[in-house]
Amino acid sequence: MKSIRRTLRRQLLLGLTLLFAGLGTGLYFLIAELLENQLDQTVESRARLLASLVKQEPNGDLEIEMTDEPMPEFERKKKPEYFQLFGPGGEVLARSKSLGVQQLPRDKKIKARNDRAFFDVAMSDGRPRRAVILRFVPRLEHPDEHPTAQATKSLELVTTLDRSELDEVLWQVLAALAGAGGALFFGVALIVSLVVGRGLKPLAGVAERATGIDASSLNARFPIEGLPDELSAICQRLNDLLARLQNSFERERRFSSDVAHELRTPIAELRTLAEVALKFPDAADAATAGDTARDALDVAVLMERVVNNLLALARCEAGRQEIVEEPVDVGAAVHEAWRPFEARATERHLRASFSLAPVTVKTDRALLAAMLTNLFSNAVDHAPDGGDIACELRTDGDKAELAISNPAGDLDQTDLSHLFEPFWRKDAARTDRDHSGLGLTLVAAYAKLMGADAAAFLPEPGRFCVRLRLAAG
Amino acid sequence: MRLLLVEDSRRLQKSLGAGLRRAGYVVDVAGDGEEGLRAVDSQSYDVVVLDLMLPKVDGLTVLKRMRDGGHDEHVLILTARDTVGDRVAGLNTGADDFLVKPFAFEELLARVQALGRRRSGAKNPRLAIGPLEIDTSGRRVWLAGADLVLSAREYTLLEFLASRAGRVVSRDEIEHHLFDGRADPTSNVVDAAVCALRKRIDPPGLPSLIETRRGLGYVLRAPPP
Repeated sequence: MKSIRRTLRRQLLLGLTLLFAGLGTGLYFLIAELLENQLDQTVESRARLLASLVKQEPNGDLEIEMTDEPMPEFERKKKPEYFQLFGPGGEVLARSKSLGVQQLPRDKKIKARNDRAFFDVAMSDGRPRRAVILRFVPRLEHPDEHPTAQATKSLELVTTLDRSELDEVLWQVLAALAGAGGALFFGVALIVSLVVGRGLKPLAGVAERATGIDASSLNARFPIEGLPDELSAICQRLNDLLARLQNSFERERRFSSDVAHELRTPIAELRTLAEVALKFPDAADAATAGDTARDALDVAVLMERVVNNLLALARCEAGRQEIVEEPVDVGAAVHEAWRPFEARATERHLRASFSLAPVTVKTDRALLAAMLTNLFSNAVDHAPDGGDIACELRTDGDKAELAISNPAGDLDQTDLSHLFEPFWRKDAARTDRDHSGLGLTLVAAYAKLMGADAAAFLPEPGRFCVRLRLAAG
Repeated sequence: MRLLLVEDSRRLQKSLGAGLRRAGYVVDVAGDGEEGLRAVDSQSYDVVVLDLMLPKVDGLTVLKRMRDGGHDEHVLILTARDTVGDRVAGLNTGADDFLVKPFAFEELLARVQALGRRRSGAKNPRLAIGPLEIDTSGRRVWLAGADLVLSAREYTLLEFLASRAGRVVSRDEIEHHLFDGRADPTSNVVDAAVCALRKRIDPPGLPSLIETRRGLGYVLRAPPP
C-alpha cells in the first residue's frame, strides 16, 4: 500500500542525497583542479627555470648550462625529479641523471596557442609525477647580435614534479567529503523523518478521527480550526459529506422505524384476534367467528396495502419502476379513477364537481391512474361528511394542470411540508388505519419519475389542494 | 376486577375487550384520550390498559392528568413504540407496567393479574383461606387439596373476596367490579352468585367460608379452628 509518509521520506532523502552528492563531487573536483593548477604552475616554473639555462649563439650553437649546474633534485636517489631536453628534430640534447635509461615522452600535443602541455607520467620508481612539456626558443647569449635562422628554432623541454603529496591531499579531501556526506545522509534522513512526521501529523489526526467514524457516529465532524489550508478544505468537504450521510441514515432509520411501527398495530390486532378466539373457543358462536374472520381480513388487506405501497416506493427509489409513455386523455383518466369512489362519496353525502378541459398528455397511463386513485382516496376519506370535492383540469402554457381539492379544516401551513413524507399523518395516533400513510409519498415519487410536479397547498383556509403539473402532449 | 381499556384501534377494542371479559374481568372501553379521562373520573378501576398514541389526548397526557388528579389506578401502557426513551417516559409519568405491540394475549392477562394483585396488596399469587388455596396467576383453585373447577364468573368472585379476605365486601362493590355495572340494581344477582359459589366451596357439614353480614355485605374468612 502506498504511504505518503514513506514516499515523501524516500523521495526527499533521494533528492537531498543526490543534491549533496553532486555538491560534494563538484567541491572535490574544484579542489583537485585548484591543487593541480598550483602543481602545474610549480612544474611550469621549474621548466621555465631550466629553459632559462639553455642559451644559444647567433649561429645556433647551444649552450646548455643545466648540465654544469648542480641540481640535487635531478640527481638524488630518493624521490628524484626528471627532465629531458629535445632538439628541433626530437634528438635528446640533455637529460637528468636521474632518468638513467628511462625516457620522458615528448609526444604530447601542445595546443597552437600555448607553448606548453601538462600530463601525468609514471616512472620506474612507481611514484606518480606531473610533467610539463615546454616549447621554447633559447635566449641568445648576446641579445644585441642578430640571430641566424638556426638560432630561432625551438626546443622542447620535458620536466616532472612528484605529485604523490597532491594525490594524498586529494585522497584526504575525498575521505573528508565522503565522511561528511555519510554524516549528512544520516542527518538529512533524521531531519526529513522529523519534518515529514510533523508535517503529516494533522493528516494522521484526520485519519485517526476518520477511523473512529461509523454508522453509529455520523454526527462526528472533523475540526477545521488550526488545520493547514490543504487539509482544512478536504475536512470541510468530508464534513459536508458526513452531514449528508447523517441525514440520509436518519431518514432511513426513521423510515424503518415508521415501517415497523406501522405494521406493529395490525399485527397486534391479528394476533389478539387469533389468541382470544383460540383461548375461548367455547364462547365463540357463528356470529363472533364471522366478526373475527372479517376483522382478520380487514387487517390483512391493510397490511397488504402497506406492503404493496412500500414495494412500489422501493421500486421508484431503486429506479426499477418501468415507464411506458403514451398519449393519455387526462379527463377520461380522471373520470375512470373517480368511478370506484362514487359509492363512498354518495354514502358520505360528498359533492364532487369536475371542470375538465380537453387535454392529452404523453405519460404513463398506469402511474397516472395510481396517482389519481391515491388523491381521490385521500379526498373522499378526509373530507367531512357533506363536503365538496373539486377537480379542475386546465392547460397552462405547455403544461397540463390538474387540481383536486377538498375541505380539510385541521390542516395548516406547517403541515404542508410533511404531507409527502412517508407515514406522516396529522393525527399522530394514526387512528386512520384504512390509509397506509404512503399515498402522497407515492404520488410525489411517481410525479418525479414522470417528470411531473406535485405540490400541496391551502387555496383558502380550511381547504386542501394537490396540484399536478404534467407536460402537455 | 374492573378494567379500563383505552385504545383507538376498533379491532383491538373488540378483541381485547372480549378476551378480557371472558377471562372474568369487567371491561370498559374508551376510544380516545378524552373518553379515557372521563371514564377514570366517573368510575374507579383496578387496572387501566392505556395505549400511548391516542386521538385527541395522547396516552402520556392522559396518564399525567390521572396522576395529577390523584388517580392511583394501576396503569399498563400498551404501545407500538418500543424505544427505551418511550418506556422511561411512560414509567416516569407514573405507569406501572409497559407492554409493546404486538404482544401475547396470555402475557397481557398475566400482567393485568399481577397489577390486580398489587392493587389488593398481595404479592404472592397463591392465596390460602382455610381449606381453600387459590393460584391467581394460573387461575386455579384447590379445596382441601383437591382441584376445584369453577366458572370464570365464580372464580372472579372468589378471587375478589379472597383478595379482601377477612374484610367486609359490600354488594355494591361486588356488583361494580364483577357485573359490568349493567346489573339491575333491584336484582339479587350478587346474592345468587355468592350462593352459587358457596355451594362449590363450602365443605359439607361445616360453617360457610363466606359469611353474610346483614346490611353490610360478605366476608370470606377461614373457619375458626
